[in-house]
Amino acid sequence: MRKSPLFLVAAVIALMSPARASLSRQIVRYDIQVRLAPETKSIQGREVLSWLNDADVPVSELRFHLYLNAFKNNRSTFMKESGGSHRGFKRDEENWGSIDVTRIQIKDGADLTPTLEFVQPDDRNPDDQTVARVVLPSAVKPQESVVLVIEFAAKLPRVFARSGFSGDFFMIGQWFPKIGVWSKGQWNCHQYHAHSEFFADFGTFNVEITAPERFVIGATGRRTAERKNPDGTRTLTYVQEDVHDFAWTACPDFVEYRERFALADPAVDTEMIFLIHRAHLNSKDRYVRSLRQGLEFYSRHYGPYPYGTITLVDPAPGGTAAGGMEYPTLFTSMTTSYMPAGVRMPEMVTIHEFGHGYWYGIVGSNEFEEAWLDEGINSYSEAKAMAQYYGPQASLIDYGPLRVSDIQYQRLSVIGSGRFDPILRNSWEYLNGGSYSLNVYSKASLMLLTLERYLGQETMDKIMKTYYERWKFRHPTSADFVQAAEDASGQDLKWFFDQALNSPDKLDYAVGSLASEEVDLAAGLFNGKLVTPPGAKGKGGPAVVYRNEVVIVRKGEWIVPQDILIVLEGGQTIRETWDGRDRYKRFVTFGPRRLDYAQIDPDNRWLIDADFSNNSMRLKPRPGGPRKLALKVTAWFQTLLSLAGI
Amino acid sequence: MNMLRSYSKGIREALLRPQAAAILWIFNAAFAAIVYFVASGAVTEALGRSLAADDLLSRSNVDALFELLTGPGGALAALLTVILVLLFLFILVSPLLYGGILQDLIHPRAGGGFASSFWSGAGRHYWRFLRVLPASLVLWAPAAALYFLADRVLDALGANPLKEQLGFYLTFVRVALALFLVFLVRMIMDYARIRIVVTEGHSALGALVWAAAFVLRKLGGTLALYYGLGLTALAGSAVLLGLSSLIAKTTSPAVLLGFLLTQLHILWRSGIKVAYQGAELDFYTRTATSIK
Repeated sequence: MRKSPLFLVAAVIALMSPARASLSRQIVRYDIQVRLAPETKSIQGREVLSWLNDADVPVSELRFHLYLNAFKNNRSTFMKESGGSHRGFKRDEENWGSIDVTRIQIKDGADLTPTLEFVQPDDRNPDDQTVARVVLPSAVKPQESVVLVIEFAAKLPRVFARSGFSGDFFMIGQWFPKIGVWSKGQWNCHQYHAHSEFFADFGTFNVEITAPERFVIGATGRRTAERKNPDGTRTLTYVQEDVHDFAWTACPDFVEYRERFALADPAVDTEMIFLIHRAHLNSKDRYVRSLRQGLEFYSRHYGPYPYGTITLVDPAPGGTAAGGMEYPTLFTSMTTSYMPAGVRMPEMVTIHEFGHGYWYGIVGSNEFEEAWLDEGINSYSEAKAMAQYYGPQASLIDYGPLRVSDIQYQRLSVIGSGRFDPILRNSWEYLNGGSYSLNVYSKASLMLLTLERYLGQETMDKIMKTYYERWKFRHPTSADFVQAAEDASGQDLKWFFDQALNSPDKLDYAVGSLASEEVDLAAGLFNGKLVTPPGAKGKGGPAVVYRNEVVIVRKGEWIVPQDILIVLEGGQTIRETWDGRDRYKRFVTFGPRRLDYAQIDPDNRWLIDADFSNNSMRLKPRPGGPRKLALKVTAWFQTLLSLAGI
Repeated sequence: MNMLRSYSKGIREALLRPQAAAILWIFNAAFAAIVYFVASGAVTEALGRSLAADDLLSRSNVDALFELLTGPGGALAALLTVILVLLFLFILVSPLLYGGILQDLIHPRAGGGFASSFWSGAGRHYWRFLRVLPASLVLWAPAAALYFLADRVLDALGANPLKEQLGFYLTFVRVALALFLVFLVRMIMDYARIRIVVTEGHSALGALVWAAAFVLRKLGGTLALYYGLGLTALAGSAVLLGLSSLIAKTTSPAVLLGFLLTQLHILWRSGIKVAYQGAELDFYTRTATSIK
């Protein structure tokens, strides 16, 4: 690579940079023109990419994500890992997706197209074409930039996983050649996997979208220009700084609503844009309310929402597979036209996907390698927000007799699943999709909820704010989260995170056994003296002393300190503590009252405990509860008999 | 008019035979008792002496229920197996009960009291009624075919994802159609059993074919009678279940009271079953004589 043009380009970019201070280190700048052809379900684009080598070594090749190629055939890594289905939606064998880079060259310089080749850094799958590299004629030196001009054409798949079309509805994510992240002396540019697709550098996007006039368009960032074209199309320009990706959507059946959201403390002023499909207009109020809640909760608890817009996209019926996805300043929620009010799926999805804007969007964690930093922290945040706005008991479902909180739902998926993987692992290395989800989403969230109960709400809030402030618009790792937690709490927490993040083991302590027996008091000749048991005052008989024994066992591998509550008949309580290290611990007390029950973790701090039921035991069982449940099952069975037989 | 007369005759016959409803209830309760003990064992195994077991009495402890579902897989599998086996056995026992009721309706107290009449009919008609069950496949198969055909049509109607609400309402149409077909086949089986008893016939298949033709010819009357009694059953069930829902079942006596109301409900349904037999027999007698 020649030196002089690169310097020139760097200087031009520096001059073109906006006067406002960037929130992030500007590694990339994309200027893209893209045209949607709805009839052929395809797009054509031209991209001018400026990339800054922010490292201290020269870089002689560049790597790009070409993620629409994940949908090119049944042998891509994504298709192999997912089996061609995603969240229950199946791929359409007649509508594959793909992206072709027709030309890539250094601006006013060498044509790199002949050097373009596909690479498979993760699994060496020769059929996977989701990552490509080009070799530069000369290396990009540290703190220099290279500007490339890339022309590309893409065919969109029928949507079954995140991106694609359904009828006239288009959700267009992962659609342009996106450069990887140069990190630690090499490219961090993973293939498109079944469960992960996000890691990129921050910068500025300036995108012109051309589509037929009848389409309502939404995109990352703010709309800065709009013009009608003689061919019946119109071109909309969107600009957004300090983001690392860009997505857009188009559908003639969207109805657009705009509302402002403002907070005084912290200072937030942003425009909420809702693109709601006509079939789902009855969900508008639910969408608006829950997005307001998300903006308020995340701004107050983590940091003020920093962008000028946030766009909620409601996928068309038939395009639900595009729902529940996050992109910078734009996300897809989901609903149906007959969603009962007590089933808070639209609210949960809205808050969750908006929340990704913080934990994947602003805090740019690496989803491929440490997905919990996004999904887990965000599931934790979502559960907290849902509990705050919809009550802790039935935040997720409040429908007839069924009342389930978000936290209970997360816990169910953890306790009901096998333990094969730790939370921390490359996303494509988990045993299967279920193991990925339960670890990365639910177990990680439960881990944080547990930490919150252990450290206290105030300390946990401090941890989350510290982590956010320290790592916003940067790329943190799990070690950075642990460091933030230790710094904010002033405690050594490695013992906690080592067990939680790096091991598939479980936390399960149980009351192993209880015993309460009368003690034979000393009676007879002792050293020549006759000893008689003392009489109980006023009753004439001998006093009774009980030996009460409680055995606590550690059934799981996790080791945590435990509190034990021992309750005697009459209500007298004894509190004990245990470091939890041995396999069991025996507690023995003597006294005039018999044992009633014992309970581990009476304050319910260890939410991640695999079995709450064995955390307590009564000396004498109370059959009322089990009897009620058994009678209920019996009544259901009787009705079944009455329906099926005579 | 025949239908109304048959309706009131059926109710009257059921009122005259409280023993018949009682026998049906006893059989139902006897089978259910086994389920109670297995279910009780499963819950006790899962929750044992835990405080979570106490909670079940006072509120719906979702955590405890989740642990019950995810924990003792063996106990729950055993419970499910017992339920399926008992259900199958109850279906095999049902012909015995149908036989007893019909015998006493056709030959009331023949040769003695109700018990003698009931049990003699139960034994006398059992094997022929039992054969009605496998033979009824000739009805279930076309009913299933009809359902799947209709399902295809409904699929086509709701295929456009943009008509999401239509697709939702078509689900109700599917359920209604499925229930209608199930009730229709069961009604034909009722008339087949009546035909067997009245004509002392031995061919289950012949009786089913005859009954199907009979129901199709008298479709309005048979359906009106069937659904009239069905609505009566629903009205009683609504009252009893409504009463039960008024009781906060957070104490053992309240739970017991709720369970007693459930037994009353099962008894009510048993009485309605007797009324069905009486009403359908009467309708058959009034209208079938002209049909060869």
